[in-house]
Amino acid sequence: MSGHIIAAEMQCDYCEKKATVHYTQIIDGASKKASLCETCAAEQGITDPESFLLDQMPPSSPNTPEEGSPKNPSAEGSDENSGEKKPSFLSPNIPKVNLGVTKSGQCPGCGFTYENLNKTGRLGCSECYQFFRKEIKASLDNMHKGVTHQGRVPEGVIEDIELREQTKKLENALADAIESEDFETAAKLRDELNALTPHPCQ
Amino acid sequence: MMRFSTLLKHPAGWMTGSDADSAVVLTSRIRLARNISGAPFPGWSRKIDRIQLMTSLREKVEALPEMKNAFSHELSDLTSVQKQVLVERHLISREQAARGSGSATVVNRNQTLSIMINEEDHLRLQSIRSGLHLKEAYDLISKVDGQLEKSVSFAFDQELGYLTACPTNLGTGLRASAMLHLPGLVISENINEVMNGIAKLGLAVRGIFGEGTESLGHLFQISNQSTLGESEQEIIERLDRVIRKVHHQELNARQKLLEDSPQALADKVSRSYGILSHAYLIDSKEALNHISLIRLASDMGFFPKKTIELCDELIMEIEPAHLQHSTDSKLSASQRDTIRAEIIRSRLQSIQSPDISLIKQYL
Repeated sequence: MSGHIIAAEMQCDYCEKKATVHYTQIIDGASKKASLCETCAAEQGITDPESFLLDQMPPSSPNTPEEGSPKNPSAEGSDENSGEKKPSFLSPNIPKVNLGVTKSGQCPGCGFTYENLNKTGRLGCSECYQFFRKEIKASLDNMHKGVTHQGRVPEGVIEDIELREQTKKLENALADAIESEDFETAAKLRDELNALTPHPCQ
Repeated sequence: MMRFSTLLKHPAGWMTGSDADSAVVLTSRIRLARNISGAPFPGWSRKIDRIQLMTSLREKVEALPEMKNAFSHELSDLTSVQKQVLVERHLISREQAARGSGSATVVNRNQTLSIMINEEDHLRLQSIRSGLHLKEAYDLISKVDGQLEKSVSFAFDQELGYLTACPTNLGTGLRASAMLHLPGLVISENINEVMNGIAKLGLAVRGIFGEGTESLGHLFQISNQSTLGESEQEIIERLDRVIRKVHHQELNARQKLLEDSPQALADKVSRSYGILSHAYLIDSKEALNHISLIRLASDMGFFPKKTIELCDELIMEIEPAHLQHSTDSKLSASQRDTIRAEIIRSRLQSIQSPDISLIKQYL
């Protein structure tokens, strides 16, 4: 067999076709490469370099499900659907920061999708609340008396929050001390920080 | 461990109305939804993971001091009739009854505390009390919640509170409810007005039996809908205030019936007694409505007070799964009507005809 060397077998970043268009762009000094088939290249507006940002490329091939993600019967068919509903990452309506929390996303914790949420009204795991936070918070107004929890807090959580806040404060002070080359203070702050966070070896 | 037959033989603690005040408010119930941080919710987890989580949670639940000698079963080990009996006793939900492997229920010895594992959420803690005692029911559930919190890490978010499979339970995860017997308001046709008023306060009200406002047995459930934005105490106090008001309105309606139409009331009560103690075939709709009148009349003095308790036991005993469970063969509808009538007749044998002398002063 011949032709199995290097680029000949490269796959398009957007579909399963062979990539024939290879594109490199420099963003903020970092170079990014993309490989596309002819159809996707035209679709993604590769002819208009202004609109094409490699930063907004899908992080990995969307066709390969993450290993370990649960196979749920109700999730069946969502893979097929994602093909036709695949959003254009060039759409000016989707701001860059939204990537990962757009409605087409999948909860990194459990693979739950926004379609699942719409269909069942339920979530997949507690992490979904981070992932779909914006969408869920938008629906809380009509559902509850308020939008912020007022009740019981599990034991240990308050301490955790306080610890986190104090750690953050010390870390900031440490950064400031290093910045201003006040190494004496920095050493003191570092010791305080170490005392706060239990070392895994101890 | 408690067996199913033992559980069935003993009426639940909340059924034996040791509380003299259960004439209008039969029961108070508190339910908390809790989930394990990081694990997929039961509706979205793989069977193998669900079983594993259930096994580990079940051990922890069974180890609770309140769960000594508890009734503990995986749903897949129970027959459909047994599951339905537990639903009729309010020990598990309809939703859990539909589940099989990977879901379990643990009920304490006097059936006042039940913990559902892998229902819609990983844990549903429920406490039932006779009468209007939401606060006491919450105190027990709060204690259990605190004990479990030491051995498992609950999914919690500073802003959204306890995280639940359905966003309608977010925050406290608390659903407080009470079951009320409101024949006075139904007969005097004031029930719709009262129900609309309750709904306007953001509380949910529904009939226990039957669909819509046409409630069989004049039994209603009032519960909170919102779980986020208020503390547990606020939710419970608000519900408690509304229930006290409805209770008061029901007593007024009863008094008005007695004053305005004493003959009609005596007639209704006596006919109900006559039908129940002489019927050989009775469907559940007819039975529930007559038992409701006997229950009302017992509280008003036509029958001894303890008849209320008998009515409450009867209401449960004539439900389909309880009836079915009393025999081995599968019952047809008419067989059920026969057995239902038999049970009611035999239970009423100890009850004398209504004492209608109390209406004399209103004639």
